[in-house]
Amino acid sequence: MLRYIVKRVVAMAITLFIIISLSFFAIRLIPGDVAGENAAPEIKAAMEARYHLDRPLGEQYVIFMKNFLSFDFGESMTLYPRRPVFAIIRDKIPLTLMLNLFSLCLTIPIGLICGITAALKKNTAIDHAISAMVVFNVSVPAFVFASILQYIFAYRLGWFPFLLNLDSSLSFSKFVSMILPILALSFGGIATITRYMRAELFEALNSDYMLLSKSKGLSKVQSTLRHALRNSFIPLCNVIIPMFMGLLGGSMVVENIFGIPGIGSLTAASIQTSDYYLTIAVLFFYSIIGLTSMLIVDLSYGIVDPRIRIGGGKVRE
Amino acid sequence: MKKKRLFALMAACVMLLSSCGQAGDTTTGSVDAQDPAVESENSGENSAYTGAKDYRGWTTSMATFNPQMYTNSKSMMNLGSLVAMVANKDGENKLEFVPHHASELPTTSDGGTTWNIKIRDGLTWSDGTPLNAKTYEYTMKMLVDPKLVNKNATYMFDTCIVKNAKEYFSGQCSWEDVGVKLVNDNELEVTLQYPATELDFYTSICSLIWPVQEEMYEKNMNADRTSTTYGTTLENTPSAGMFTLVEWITDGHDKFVRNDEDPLVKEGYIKIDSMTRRYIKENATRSEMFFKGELDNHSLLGDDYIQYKNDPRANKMLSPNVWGYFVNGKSKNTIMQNKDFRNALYFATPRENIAEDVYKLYPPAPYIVSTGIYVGDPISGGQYYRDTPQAKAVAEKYATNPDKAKELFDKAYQANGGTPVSIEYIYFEGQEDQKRQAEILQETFENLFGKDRFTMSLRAMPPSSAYDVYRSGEYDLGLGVRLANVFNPWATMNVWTKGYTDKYVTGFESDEFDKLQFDCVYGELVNDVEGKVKALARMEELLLDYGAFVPVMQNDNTVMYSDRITLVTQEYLPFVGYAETQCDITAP
Repeated sequence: MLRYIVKRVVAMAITLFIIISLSFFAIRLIPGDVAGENAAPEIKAAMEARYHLDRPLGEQYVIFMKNFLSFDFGESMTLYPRRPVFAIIRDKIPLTLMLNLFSLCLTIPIGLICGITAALKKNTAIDHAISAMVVFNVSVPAFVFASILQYIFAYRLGWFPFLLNLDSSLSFSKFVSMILPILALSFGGIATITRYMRAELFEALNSDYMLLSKSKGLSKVQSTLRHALRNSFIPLCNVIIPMFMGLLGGSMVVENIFGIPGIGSLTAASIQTSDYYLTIAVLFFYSIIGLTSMLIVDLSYGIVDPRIRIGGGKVRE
Repeated sequence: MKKKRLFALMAACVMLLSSCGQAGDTTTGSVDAQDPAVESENSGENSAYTGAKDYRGWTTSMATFNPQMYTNSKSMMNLGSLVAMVANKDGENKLEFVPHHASELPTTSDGGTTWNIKIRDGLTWSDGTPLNAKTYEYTMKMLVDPKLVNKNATYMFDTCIVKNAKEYFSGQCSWEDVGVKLVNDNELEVTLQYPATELDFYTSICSLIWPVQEEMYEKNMNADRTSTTYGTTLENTPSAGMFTLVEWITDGHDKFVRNDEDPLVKEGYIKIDSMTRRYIKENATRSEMFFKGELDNHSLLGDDYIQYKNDPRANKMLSPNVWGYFVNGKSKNTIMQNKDFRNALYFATPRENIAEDVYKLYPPAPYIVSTGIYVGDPISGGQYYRDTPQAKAVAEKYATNPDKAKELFDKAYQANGGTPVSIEYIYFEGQEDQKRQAEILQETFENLFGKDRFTMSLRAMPPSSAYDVYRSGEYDLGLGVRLANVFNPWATMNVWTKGYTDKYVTGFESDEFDKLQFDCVYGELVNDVEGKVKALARMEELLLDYGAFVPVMQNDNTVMYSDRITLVTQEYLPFVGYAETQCDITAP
């Protein structure tokens, strides 16, 4: 197991190196100007010299990698001038994390309950209603949900504030202001979990081992809880664990609508403003999240289902 | 039974949706008049309101309060300047230049080259440290520091060129050689390379250079002195202006409270207690918040503009910039080298239709210099350039004229050997309005000139790519804008001179134009307002005659203020607009 983890971590490091290198070259293919379109020629030239953009690309890459490997991620060039990129990302994470955590607290139980109910009541009106909800939630983008929620509950009814309360402590008014963004962030996740849970549980309920458990004398409730549910959770790891890792990801549109200074819009904004160092740092951050979540998913299989052995260890004869 | 329940559920949904729709419709009329809460607010306008006066504004972002890196001057409310541009406080609808950190308006003894600036006694930063002439000397030194490479360094060598500032910025001389000298703790002498008018000096060096606090600036400097994090957090952002920054969450909100120690506050220029701004990127959110009474201003866009453009609360702004398309007279496409053809495009451009059908809130512009450009001294009697007879004559001569366009095209077509003409037009991708403008141009040109003789293809590009293409000269026509200075349009005309190093290729080169531009900004016409107006008209004429840029529209915005706001000026004033920070609040 330990050997397997070490191998995966080494592979992750190599993947990260490739991602960062590709990002470096890809971002420079995008046209743009670090000084801004209407900057004076003198400022443009000086800004390019400051960030070594006047040198050959290979030389720029060597300088960049040298700094990057010594954990010097550089400063923001255009979006937040002169702020260290690490500080920008660090400052934006707590709010995004809190919102997404609350969103998951809503998403996972509701998604599971809906999925289980739909599977147990398959082909009934309840199943059809849940399926319709799933189709609706999957089809309608989060920004439409966010806009509708804001229009009805903030503008028309006035039950909730338009924007997120930015108090540093978690007060009641801050929690109330978080409800609409949390709901907007949750709809898609609820639909995803419901869909997976329904499909997996339905398959489990119709499997041979369920027939065996019934023939052993277990009640439907007992066999469902002890066997069907546990087995149907295995494929769900693939969905739920990345959701936890995605806590740090944020959502650009929802953040823009509710005035949330989170990390969601950072990637697009940094690319649009040719903020090379910030863009690469954000991509690096997302890559770490993605690769770590994949590693955890793989490791979790062995924990959830002891039949799965990880690491390719030799089979004892 | 199940069907009945389902029907009841559907009926409830329909009722809910229809009630939302009806409620929404009421806002299109005058919902405020029927709202008792708003009614009571309105009734309070006539009585003297003595409660808290917090102006609730918005902005899309505020990346830094480092005044040497950020370019939105109106956001630096926490910092003062030597001279402030303000609206007259007695409601005379006039712009005023008043000494702010300076004790009196700076003076010159040699016709505009050497300027003496006296700083007020007893000025302090929000933390109590003194602010004096030394502060401004340090600020100017840091602004053009060659290692720091500050974006706003150009303020020292743009409209007014401080002697050797550009050379110091590029590391070619020492600070001692730069034309900024500390006379004593309260006096500074600035020497320019060329003489400047009072107006130019006040609106550039004196208004755009905001002080930085030396101690904090140095404390946040890195070891090799190439970067400072000054102004990037609330803790390292000191204040010394009419307002003090007291709250700031990056990309969240900021709050300023009135600084009662500020000289202009003491003189009664500021009536509000505080200003809170949320950073809101979505226009729909801003619109809903404004009409719900949670914001005090709102920029009218799209449907909001159509609905409220005639509302008494809507105030028209004047943009100094004119949008249009660049015309490449040096294109490899030979027809583009024909002056008659370029002029035909100008006269055929249906800018009135485009403004009405596409942009709606922006007026058509058959001119290069916008209606927002002011010539002369706004205090002693200047005027908007487009109101001058010279400018009117240019606009009249170059009015849209399809018949003339057809005539010119026929000439160009014959000169081209009677072969069909094909050109390409570049517009910015992701901009629906600009795509529609391109389609209207295409349709109009092809119908007017004849589809068998003329075709125009359209190409969408990201703005930065498009501008790179304009620089390379690999284009025929390309949408874009060149920014203009409200008080010194001659200075920003430098982008059309031969020596400008960051030119968009149009093939326009004129010795007469270059001489006029130099004379107006640095030469013999500097103090001759009438001469400069004539020169500007001639420069505009030269550009239009060559066909280097075809103007289409002027991006004027319209801002709506809430009922509880009483503006200090009823007319739009150059640079300060409606002077929001000077408004009064007359209701809770």
